[in-house]
Amino acid sequence: MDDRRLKNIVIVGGGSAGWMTAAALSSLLDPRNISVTLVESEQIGTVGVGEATIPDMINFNRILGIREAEFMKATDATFKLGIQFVNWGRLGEHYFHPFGQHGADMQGIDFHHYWLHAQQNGSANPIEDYSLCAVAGKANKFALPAQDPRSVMSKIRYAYHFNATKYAKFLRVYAEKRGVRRIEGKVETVSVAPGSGDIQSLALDNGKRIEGDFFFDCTGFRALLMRKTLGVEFKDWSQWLPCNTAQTIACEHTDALPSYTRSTAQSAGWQWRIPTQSRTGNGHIYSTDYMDDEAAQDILLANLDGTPIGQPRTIRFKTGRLAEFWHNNCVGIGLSSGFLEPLESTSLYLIQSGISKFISLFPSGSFSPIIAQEYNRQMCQEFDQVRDFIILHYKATQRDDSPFWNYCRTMSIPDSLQRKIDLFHEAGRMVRDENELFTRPNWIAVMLGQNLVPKVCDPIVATLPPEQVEHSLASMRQAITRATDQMPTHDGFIDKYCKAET
Amino acid sequence: MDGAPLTSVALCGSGLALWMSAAAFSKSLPNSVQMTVVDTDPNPASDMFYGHVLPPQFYDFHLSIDLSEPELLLNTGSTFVFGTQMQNWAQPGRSWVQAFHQPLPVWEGVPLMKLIQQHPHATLQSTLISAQAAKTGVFAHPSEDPEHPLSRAEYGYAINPAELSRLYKAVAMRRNLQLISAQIETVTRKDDTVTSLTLTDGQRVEADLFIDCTGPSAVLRAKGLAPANKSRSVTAKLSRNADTPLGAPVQRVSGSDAGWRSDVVLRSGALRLTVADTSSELDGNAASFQIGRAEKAWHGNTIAIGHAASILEPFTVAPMKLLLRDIERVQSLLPVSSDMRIEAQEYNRAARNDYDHASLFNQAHFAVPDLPDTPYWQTAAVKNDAPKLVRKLTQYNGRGYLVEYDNEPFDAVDWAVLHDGMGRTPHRADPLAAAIDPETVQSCLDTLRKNIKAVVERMPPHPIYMSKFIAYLHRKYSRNG
Repeated sequence: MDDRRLKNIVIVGGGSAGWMTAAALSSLLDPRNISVTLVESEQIGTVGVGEATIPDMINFNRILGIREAEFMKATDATFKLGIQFVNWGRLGEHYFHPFGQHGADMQGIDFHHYWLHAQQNGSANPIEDYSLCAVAGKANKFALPAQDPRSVMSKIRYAYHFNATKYAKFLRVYAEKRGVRRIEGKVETVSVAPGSGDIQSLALDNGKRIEGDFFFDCTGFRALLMRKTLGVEFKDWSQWLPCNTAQTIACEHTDALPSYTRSTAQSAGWQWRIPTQSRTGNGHIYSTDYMDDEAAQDILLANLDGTPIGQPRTIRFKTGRLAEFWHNNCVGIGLSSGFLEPLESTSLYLIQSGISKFISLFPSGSFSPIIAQEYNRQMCQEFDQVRDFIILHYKATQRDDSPFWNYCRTMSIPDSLQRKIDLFHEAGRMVRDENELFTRPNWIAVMLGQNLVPKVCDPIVATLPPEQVEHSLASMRQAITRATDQMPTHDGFIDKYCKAET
Repeated sequence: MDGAPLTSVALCGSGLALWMSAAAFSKSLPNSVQMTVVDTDPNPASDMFYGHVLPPQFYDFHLSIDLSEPELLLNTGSTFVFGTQMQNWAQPGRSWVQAFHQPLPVWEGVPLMKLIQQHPHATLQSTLISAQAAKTGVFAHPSEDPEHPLSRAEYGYAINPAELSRLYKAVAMRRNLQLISAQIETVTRKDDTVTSLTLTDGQRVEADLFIDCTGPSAVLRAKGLAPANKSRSVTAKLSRNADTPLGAPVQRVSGSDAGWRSDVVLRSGALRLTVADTSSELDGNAASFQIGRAEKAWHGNTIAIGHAASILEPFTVAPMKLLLRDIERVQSLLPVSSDMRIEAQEYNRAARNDYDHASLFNQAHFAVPDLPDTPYWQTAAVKNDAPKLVRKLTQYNGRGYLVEYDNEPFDAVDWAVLHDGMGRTPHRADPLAAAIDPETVQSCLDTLRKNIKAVVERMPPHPIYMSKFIAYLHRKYSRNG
């Protein structure tokens, strides 16, 4: 039996990826047996602007034993009930992609069939009227979910908007308290063992040398270890996700604090609006094949809610992922491992997933390739599934007002996505893989929101009298409206629950 | 809409597949769709190859067709089972209970399974209350209280397919449907589409969609559509013994040089299925079965389900799970019009996955180096090199990691119990499990085992529980009419 164990884990790069990895490992490992070292440089900035998340974030913090209010105060966080998409299906249209479900499934048949039946019989309510998260979000309200499953308030699902730089700092305190050693310095050279190809040590600009037997590449787009050192191939997805640049800037708040993210499609990409407690994060993501930087900045600045804070920053990227996430004794986490647009706020989730899959496959001291293979199989599948969902937003558009949208509307898409679209379009069927991150209601919200409507509804529902269906739907709408009326405003809730110290 | 709307469905075939799908469709088909059932054989012999155990998933299926457990028990001789007692499987002495059980607990952030993987083989079995109860011969319904050890147990039923088919038929007949009892004489096609069936009584049956439940012969399958992916054949024989008294709540599967046999005891007597390689001379009503699946279960407007689509050996509940999945898959993809290409494509993809994953579980029963040097075992071992199986075994043997694929019919607990039962021990401890103090693990384990033992000691023997339960049901139902 092989008893060698990992003794020195080295994380290269701070930021969300680095500190989330450090925090998760420190919550699990005994520093007397395994040391965890994180190397970061103050000289290298992090990409983190205002960051939006999905509900899985709650689990990550819970596993670490972090109290929600404490975390929210420290990171300037607000609540998020979903995303509003503006101008995606057609110019002038908008829809809400809420967390959680629409309506209630009845007699084993998905709710959207009842909704479809009502539409075919003249009802005009969009499907988001049946989501408590959407209705409350649009009213800038918020409350925590109720425990009683019979209460409509139990349907609340939420995530956060926060300042990612502050989150990294917060996790740094957490991790250092649990024995993670932080070393300041910029990595200058990486030494690789001649035979095995394993990474052995790092030399820093301040002369320090750091040895380790396992490494995490959290160096962001630079992918210093995975790509520059180990030469892992990058799978380019720009034929499906052509945006390659972002201009970002924060601005001051105006009016009420929104409890949702907004994504507005522009002529060659889209613009986000992410409210944190003290300011609003904004970014315009576009393709330089269709728009130059200057025009993109102008659009960004022309579409801010309030006075800009500072100057726009330009970030270049390429969409895609590594062919291998785990290579030899190194795992890539975060932007170094792949980038999908923040359209569905999946960046931090993919970090979280990379870490938890690593933990479940935790290696011993001798690296058997079979563990890495399994990790890679799971991570590739996860990235590919999320990719399909994001491509859906671009593909399912009717916009023909710009070359960019003409490209997206007519581009060929992965077979796996085409299959989902065909099944939904034919008769409102939604199939998904068992472990897929985005569930049926997510897909349905975007498909219907962008006018991808099934040709027919479920044959059983079709035979129901329209009045009976409308009656059920009306009572659902009523329950949601009533619950929303009773909820506090998002501002008011945050003031009481987790107001950040300024 | 492309194509005309779906107005009629014909289910053709016999036995369990026919009546189980008829019962399901009688609930889920809209009333606007005409439903015809062509029953070609009231008691098909091939139904023995579905096996005689319903896995726990049938509980929900029965609820969905408004069939309660009391109805099942009062109208058939079914009994409870906590799993399958595997005996002398491939080697004398290799025995374990393939128990039905909920996910195992997690201690200190590490799954129990990983903590005890390197303990002796009896350890995992001793933490499964359903395995312990099965071995002891006792039964009680699992507790609703999540803190109670018995809440982790799951159970299925030992059944006779002929009795169950009759009950499903009664459920199906609650709906207005056209029932024809006759053989299929000719199948008339236009291109890929079956347009009509001519029956031995001279009737013609037309429908927009045909469900082929005709068993291994797959009568509606288009000529030239190869029965692909077929592998070896086996011979099977069923025998009954009306006088066997009820015993432990478990199916017994025993290995021998020639193959294996399964024994279940129902309230209506015992059923023994004997399976061997085709060169063995099984006397009496033996039939041969070719393991494998059809290349396309859904072709044109015909969907083959059950044995017409795929055949696996019933030493596990794989065939029953696949039959249930076939029916659920047809329900979820029931076409809305005569243009069914999109539904068919998705159906065939999912059916292929389900079959492949169920067959991995069966194949894993042969993936050991010490198989008997006899035709049955040696032929069965040929498929041990399936890449997905190799991945599962390599990951498990390496450090006890359970690889899972999409929507597998057998879950992580099923696989853990099987690996353990087959005698696989990971070469290395999981590093995180190894970091936990062995004494802590031992003391948690002792407590868990003590609690399980205490509960099992208080549970009544299965025959006594069953007779009291049936007496109670009789009183209750006679009082309420």
